Amino acid sequence: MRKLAEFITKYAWPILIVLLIITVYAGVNARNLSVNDDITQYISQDDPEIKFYTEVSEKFSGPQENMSMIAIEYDDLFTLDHLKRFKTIVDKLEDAPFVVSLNSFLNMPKIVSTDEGMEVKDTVEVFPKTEEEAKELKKSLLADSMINGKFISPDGKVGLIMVETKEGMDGTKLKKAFKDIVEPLKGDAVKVVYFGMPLISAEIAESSTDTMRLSFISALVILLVLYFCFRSLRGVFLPILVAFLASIWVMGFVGATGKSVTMMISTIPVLMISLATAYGIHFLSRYYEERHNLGPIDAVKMTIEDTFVPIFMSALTTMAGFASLMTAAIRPMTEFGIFSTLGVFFAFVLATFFLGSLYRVFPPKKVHEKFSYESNDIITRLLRMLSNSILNKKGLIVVFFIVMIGLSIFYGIKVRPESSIESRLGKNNQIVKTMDYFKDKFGGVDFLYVYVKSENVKNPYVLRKIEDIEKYSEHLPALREPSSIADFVIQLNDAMENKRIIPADPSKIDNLWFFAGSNKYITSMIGDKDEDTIAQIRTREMTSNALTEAIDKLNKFIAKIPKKVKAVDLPSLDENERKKYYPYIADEIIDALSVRGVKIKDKDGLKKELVSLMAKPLSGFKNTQDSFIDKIIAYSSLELEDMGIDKKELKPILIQYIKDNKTEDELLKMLVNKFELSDDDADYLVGVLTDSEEMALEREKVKAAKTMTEKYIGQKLEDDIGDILWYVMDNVAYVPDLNGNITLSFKLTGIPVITNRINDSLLRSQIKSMGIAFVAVFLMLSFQFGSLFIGILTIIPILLTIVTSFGLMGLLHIDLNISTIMVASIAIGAGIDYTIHYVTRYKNELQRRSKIDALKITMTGTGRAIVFNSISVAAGLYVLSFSTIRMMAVFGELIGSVMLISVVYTLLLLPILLNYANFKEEVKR
Amino acid sequence: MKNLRNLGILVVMLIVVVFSGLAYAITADEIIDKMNQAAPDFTTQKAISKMILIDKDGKVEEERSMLMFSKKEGDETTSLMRFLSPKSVKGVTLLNIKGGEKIYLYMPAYRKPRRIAGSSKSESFMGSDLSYEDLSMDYKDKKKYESKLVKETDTEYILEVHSLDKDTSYDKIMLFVDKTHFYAKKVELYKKGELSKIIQMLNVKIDDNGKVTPMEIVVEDAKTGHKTKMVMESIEYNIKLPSNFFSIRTLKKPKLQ
Repeated sequence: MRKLAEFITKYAWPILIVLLIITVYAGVNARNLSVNDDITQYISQDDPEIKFYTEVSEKFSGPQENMSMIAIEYDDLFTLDHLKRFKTIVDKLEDAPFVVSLNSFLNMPKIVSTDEGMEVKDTVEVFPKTEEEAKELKKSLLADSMINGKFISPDGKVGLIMVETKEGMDGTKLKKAFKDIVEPLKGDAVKVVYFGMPLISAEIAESSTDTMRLSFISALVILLVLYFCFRSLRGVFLPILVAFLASIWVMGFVGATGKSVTMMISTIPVLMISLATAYGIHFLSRYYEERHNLGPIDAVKMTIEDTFVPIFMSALTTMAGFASLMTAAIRPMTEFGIFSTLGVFFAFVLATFFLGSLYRVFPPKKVHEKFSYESNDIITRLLRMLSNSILNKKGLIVVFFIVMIGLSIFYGIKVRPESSIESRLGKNNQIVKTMDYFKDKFGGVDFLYVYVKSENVKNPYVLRKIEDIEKYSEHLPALREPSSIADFVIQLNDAMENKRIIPADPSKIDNLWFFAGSNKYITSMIGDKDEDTIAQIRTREMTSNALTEAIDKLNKFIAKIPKKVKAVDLPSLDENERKKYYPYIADEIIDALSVRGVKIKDKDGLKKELVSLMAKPLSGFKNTQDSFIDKIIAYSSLELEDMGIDKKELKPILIQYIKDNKTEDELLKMLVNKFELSDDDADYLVGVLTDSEEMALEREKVKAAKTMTEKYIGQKLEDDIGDILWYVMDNVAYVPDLNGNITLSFKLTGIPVITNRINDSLLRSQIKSMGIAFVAVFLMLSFQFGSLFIGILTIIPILLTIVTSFGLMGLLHIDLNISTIMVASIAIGAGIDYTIHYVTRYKNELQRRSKIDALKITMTGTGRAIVFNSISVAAGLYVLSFSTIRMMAVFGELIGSVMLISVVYTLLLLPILLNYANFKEEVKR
Repeated sequence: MKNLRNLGILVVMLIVVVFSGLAYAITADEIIDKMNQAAPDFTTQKAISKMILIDKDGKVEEERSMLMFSKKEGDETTSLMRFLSPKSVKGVTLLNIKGGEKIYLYMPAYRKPRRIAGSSKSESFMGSDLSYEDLSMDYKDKKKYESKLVKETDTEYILEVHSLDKDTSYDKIMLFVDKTHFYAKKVELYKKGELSKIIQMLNVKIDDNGKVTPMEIVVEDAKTGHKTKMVMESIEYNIKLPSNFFSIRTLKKPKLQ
């Protein structure tokens, strides 16, 4: 120590200059800090779940970090004026140089079905020209499951625009750019809400910067508290300056490493100022003491020699607390652990080198400040009273603590991990309020993705299973608004032949895909070589028990889906062979009805009925009703129009053909006679009409199946659910088969899945880092006091402090999140200082005094210092309450409170415990 | 499957792409006239072509071949196009009457022809790198485009073309016109000031009368690097077709001609 003291006093100027250079360098780096807090960065990017999520989200929805949403709300969006305004805004945004792509209901594929055919258009192409048309559009869009709740709120008031912007756009500038376009055009919009990763990042960055700025207020508060305690402005200013410089250094270090400031790191300045001021106080109080008797240089040397070890020990335990966080698997925790450990180390270095060389170069005048804790104020009197009665009222105190611990355990077990953005930012945070708005209007802002992989995801079996998953998810309260390419195929198929199902025939899907596959939205939903796709399901909450339960249920449902099947082409089999596969189709119908919420009591019975109906030949469904004949004519209308054949004249011929069970040849003759057709034309027309007849017969058969099913289950089937009965016409059966050539797999991902993983990780990290902190501190204590038993006794108060802090969290409904989880480890590191100070003094006093006298003097001497220190630390940390980020505010409040609780345990429990220990100092005496 | 009104004139439009342009020293008008002269004359046409989609790494994603018949009726073109391969689209047939007045689609799996309508012009044409707008752009129409000759090299005239229609996707089009045969060897399309697409003629056939037929064209999306190659396998002009050839009943016929 002497050498160090010599060194510092000898090279005071160069040391000061070096420290100044480091500070300036750190300051410059700190100014360039970027602030970023992305939950997907929380666990290692190598984590398989995170990797998977990143891949899936980038593949199918573009990089999330470039996606923004703009919601424009009118009292009714579907007036001509509002629609025009909305369209102008969309057009202007599309033209903006920073916009890469944009989606709104205007460019969603809209399938318009007509009698003669269908059209796939961007919705914008059917843009209304009158108020009536606007109302019509509203009706049709709200009936469109790909638009309602996704791009338009179900009440028809809010239109949503999803914008992908160029990479690296600054969120704050982006919001301004959005506003510059939207605000002048919005007219009488009720509300415009901007949201998305770039904007969240900007908001969090702003809040985090504000949190860092709180360090100035924290410094001021500590200054005032310490001034009140010590009545010396000069004596407390420099220690705070030391802590302040330490935080500049550490933030500069963060900047130099290229790391971004997370919400957690933004608290480091306040933490440093609160926790590290004590080191400077140690130094100064000793300096002023030495200065009474020594010259300026010797006083500095003596101070360094005397305080180096205690400050180092104190810093070491605090560092151990912070360092234990480095073991966490959660990235911001690890980074926070590294940087805060460094910060404490910097504070320790600065307290010794900066203060030492500063006082060497600028020695203060000899002051007669009573810079000590000896006083007769209310706290001292209270402590004196306590020390007099503590051993007599042992029982009472123990009972008090047992009650406290009991209550703490009772409330502590209620604490739950929760890393949702709501929990992190707090209910009143602007981001959370915006999220609530989206939740209210669109059912949420987050998606659960069901990633689907197969040789060909356009295979009917795969699409049907995706649809089943979607339908199943609709019945889970935490999930809503599922969507996928399956919905689109169903819409198209509906437009093609009025069947709201995925057709079983793969060639139909190929044909549909050809027809619509070039729509940008649709192509973006399917991966290269058609090997993967996703179903998106909106989640109401980011995390919640209901969501976890929904994810579990969905996983179980998915587990039951046969993952290997073979396709059996039924028309290529003879009737007897074909019959073998009807039960599989019947099963599929029953399963499909069940996931759509249809209650079927006797599944086997229904299956039997369906199988026997499937075996019935189509001709058995022939009838002469007008509607049947009209259907045949409607199915042929294009060809009839093309040939110039009058439908009215054709009808009697068709009636005769069906009623009298005429042959195709006879039909041909009738047509030739009636319409004077060439043989060639008549041949063609017969082909057209018999094709149409077959289609009409199929419809009759399905109608019969539906009626039968409704009768069997005793309830009416809604139209779209009833369409499942079209499966009876399937010409391909999909049969579970381990050697089947259709394989598929599903995997859930999305922010909710990652959040669940982080929650798991949080608990494990908590236990791990707390354990490490305990062991490290316990070893240090045992080593310092030379006894394992004393080590155990001295760790008890801090252990109980932690238990109580959990109780406090449970009582105040504070979730275990990324910040609160660290409180325990930090508290162990910082709170143990009180125990060390107390025991060290107690041991020293034991050399001269009895146990009871040693206790009394320790209580009023060191006890008073501890109380003041904890008050100043707590006051400094409570400043974090002003943070607009709830989790930071709670973090500050919790650590502050824990430091106060720690004092209570140290002063009330430690004396009782130490009474049971035998110290060698006592024996010597 | 969008904006099918332009579909039938696929090959015609490719030729338009090749021959479009406005001239300069030899004035812009003169260049256009010469490009028009170099374009083949025909009333009916039969072509077999291949569309190859190539990803950014140069891997072939999909190859489609199609057979197309077209007929010029005044300013309008009626066409019938059938996909021959791959299997997933085989037999899909489109009938486009008078440049999109009516469009019919026959999908074999659905047994019945349907009448359909198109969609937005910026949509991709059959999943290719060409949009319907690209296909319908006719730079030689002076009512719609204005142009100036910005550079002349030993082998090319370079024209800068701007659409007079505000609703266009492109704010600038650069044409690189061959000085000897008067066809656009390369076309660059600019969106928001950035290069968006590059269309290049890789191979052309020039007959004795100086008429130029594009045989191989590649379109590249400058942003993604994705390419579409169009290869003309055979082309016949002024063939004889039955009077009712362009009708719904032809759609279903297994053999067209």
